[in-house]
Formats: sequence, C-alpha cells, structure tokens
Amino acid sequence: MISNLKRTKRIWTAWLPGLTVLAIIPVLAAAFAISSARAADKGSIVALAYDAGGGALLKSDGEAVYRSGNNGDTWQAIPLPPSANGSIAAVATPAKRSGVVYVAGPGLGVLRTEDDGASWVALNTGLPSTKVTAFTAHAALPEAIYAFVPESGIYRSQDAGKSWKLMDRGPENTRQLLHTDMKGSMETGWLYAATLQGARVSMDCFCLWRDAGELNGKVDSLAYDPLQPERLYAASDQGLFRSTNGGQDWEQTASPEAAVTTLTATPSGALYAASTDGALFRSLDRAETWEPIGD
Amino acid sequence: MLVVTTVIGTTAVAADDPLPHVLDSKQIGAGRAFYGQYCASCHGANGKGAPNWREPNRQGELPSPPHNQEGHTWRHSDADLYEIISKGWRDPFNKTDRITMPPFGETLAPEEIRAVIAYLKSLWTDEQRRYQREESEKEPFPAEAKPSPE
Repeated sequence: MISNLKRTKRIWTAWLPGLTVLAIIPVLAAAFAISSARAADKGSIVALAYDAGGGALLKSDGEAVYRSGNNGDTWQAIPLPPSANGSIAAVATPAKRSGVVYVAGPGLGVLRTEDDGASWVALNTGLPSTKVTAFTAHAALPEAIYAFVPESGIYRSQDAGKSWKLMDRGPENTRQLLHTDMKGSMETGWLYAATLQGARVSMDCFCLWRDAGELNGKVDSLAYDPLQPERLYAASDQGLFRSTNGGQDWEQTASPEAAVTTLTATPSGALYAASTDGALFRSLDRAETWEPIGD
Repeated sequence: MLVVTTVIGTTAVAADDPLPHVLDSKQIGAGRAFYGQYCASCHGANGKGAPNWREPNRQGELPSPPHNQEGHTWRHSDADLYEIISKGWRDPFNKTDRITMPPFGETLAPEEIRAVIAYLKSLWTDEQRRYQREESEKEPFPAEAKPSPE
C-alpha cells in the first residue's frame, strides 16, 4: 500500500519549492485517502500526534502520514508531495488550529498541510538545510514551532514557518523535541529533548539546558499530559517511564511492548504508544494499563 | 548537564543598523549602584554570576547566573526582565523551600528597576542587545514602568 501511495503521489502532484502551495488536488486526494483506509497497518510507526481540534490521531511510518478519526479503526492517508525526497521524523499539530498538520524530517525540512495533503507548503526558508531531525509545535501559541537541524541547532519560528531564527545549539544527539506549557517558565513554556543520553529540558527562552531527571540511555520519545503538564512520559531503551514533576523524577510504569518508538497524549489525558512492529496502544489510566487499538 | 552554547539569532542585521539602544550613561550609573546594593551579592560584581552557574546542586537549585554576555539575561524581553525583578521567580526544579530569585518590587521603585535593566544591557554585546530589542518589541516594559511625561 505504501508503494502504491508513492506511485500515486508521483502522478498526481507537482512540487514547487519555497513558500508555495505545492499542489492542489482535493478531489483526487480525497478519493485516494478513502481508498487507502487501513493503510500502513503494520509498518514501524516513527511518529504519533493528535489533532485536538479535529479529534484525530495521526501516525507516520516514516514515508507517509495517516489520520484516524475513529481511534485507529480506519486510517486515511495524507499523501506527501511526490518530490518530497526524505523521510518523516516528526508529525505535529499546532495549538488552537484544527486540521493543520506539520511533518518534518531529513530531506523534507518542514512541510505543512491544511487540507489533508491535497496541498503542501514548504517552510524551509531560513533553515540551513532540509536535514531536520526533530520538530515540535508550541503547546499554546499556534504560530510558534521548533525545528532541530543537527549541524546548527534549534530554530524557532514565531510566524508558522515563514521565517526562522537560530536559538541555540540544543542538546547533542537530539532525537525528538517536545514543548509543554508547564508553569514556572520565565518565558512561555518548556522545551524537552529526547536524546541518546537521556532527556534534557530548558525554558523556551533557551536559557539553559539541563538534565530532566536521571533517565539513562537512549530516550526515543517524550509526551506530556495537557491536563497536567507536569506529567510526562518517556519511552526509552530501559522501558516506559512517568514523571509527575516535569521530569525531575521518573518512575517506571507499564509498557505495552518492549520497544515503544513514539508516544503522544490527547487533551483529555489519553496516552497513545506505538511499537516497532507498528502496533498501537492506548492507556486511559496514565500508563497503568494498555489496550491495543485498530487492527 | 549539557553546556549551553550561546548562539545569536540569524535574523539579518544591516551593517549600518544603529545600536538598538542608546544607552543612557546616567541611568546606567544609577542602575550600577542599585545592582551593587541589591544584586551583586548573588549575581556577582559586574554581573559575572556564580561559579558553575549551569550546574544545579543536589537539591535542584541553580546558582545565580551571570548577567553579562556569558549569561542568558539578554534573551529576555523588557517585560520579562521587569517582571522577574519585581515579582521574583521560582524554578519548578528547585526542590527546596527557598525562592530562586527573590522579588524586589517592594524594594525598588519602577524607575530603579529600569535603571538596573539599563545597566545589565550595558554588559551585553551589540548583537545581544539587538536580539533583546526584537524580543522587547513584542513585550515592552509594562505601563507602570514607563517614565511619566515631563
């Protein structure tokens, strides 16, 4: 199905660089999306996100993005532009905007769609390259987004990607970024980084990166509970961990699979986890128990 | 703990762009005096900060950071700097009962807080002042801190 998706994209869309609408093919894209329901069932899932405004779960296998409005029963493909020569590392949705999806990854840079992939806008003007390996959206400010380019550092945009400013080198070996609106920041919130050497945290003024607790080893993904931003979850090569104080202290909790690759949480506090074999799970009790969702 | 590397934003700045702030030497002098009286005991003479300020202690307390070009004060807007000085700040990673930065709103008058901030600005590089000016365009001093018309 994924290879079919790629072929279809090559035929139906056209690529224009920069701040340009790449292709508008709403009818064909919609038809394709319907036909690709239940696509990407069992590929490794590399990114999860939740569109709070639209009430939809988003997942990516690194090559495409899929949206589910029924808790994973069926999936609709959000096709990337055909010339998008790269892999997806992150999917994010902005605060207070429904139906807007960002994808980012090496070779892609940062892309945004507001119509389920019928058209895309490339947001790479001001970034040093399209080698974006981590990306997140601000927890509360819809225009603020963050992109990590390993050779340079973390870039911030405050105008939804029209312009970027290099803010900081960022932690080494950053794998994922997460913004939260936990109280106590001198600015507007907190940035967390999942890295090969644990988790790091800084206020979003980029004043100081420090250890977020004593998670050792590789951390693949971080998520937070919007109902209680002090509550964080971390998927690491040591298991699944939970913090109730912004990452100062962690306790190991139940994990649905040995290798959780990515996490996301909804505004109601539901936590989703994906594993390397593409299985999806949901917890409604703060990672105490898990249930499989979808096929 | 990863060491922060200071990186100035990449926003293009024309070579002939004037200094973002015409620093008022009289205000800076007043601010230096207030700084010496109320701030230097923690933040050090000339804003040099406490040793190892990037390293929290075992109780999660951060040593007082420098206010000069080595620190991060320049990353904050006028509004944020004014609020932090007047209202204080508690780091949520601080596990003690001690406040991280005590409030000085009851000790210093608004114009005195502004004078302290003017002095801090005199410790930064031109690029840092430009960055801080851009941040302050969106978040200027609050009305209470603005000088009354003469």
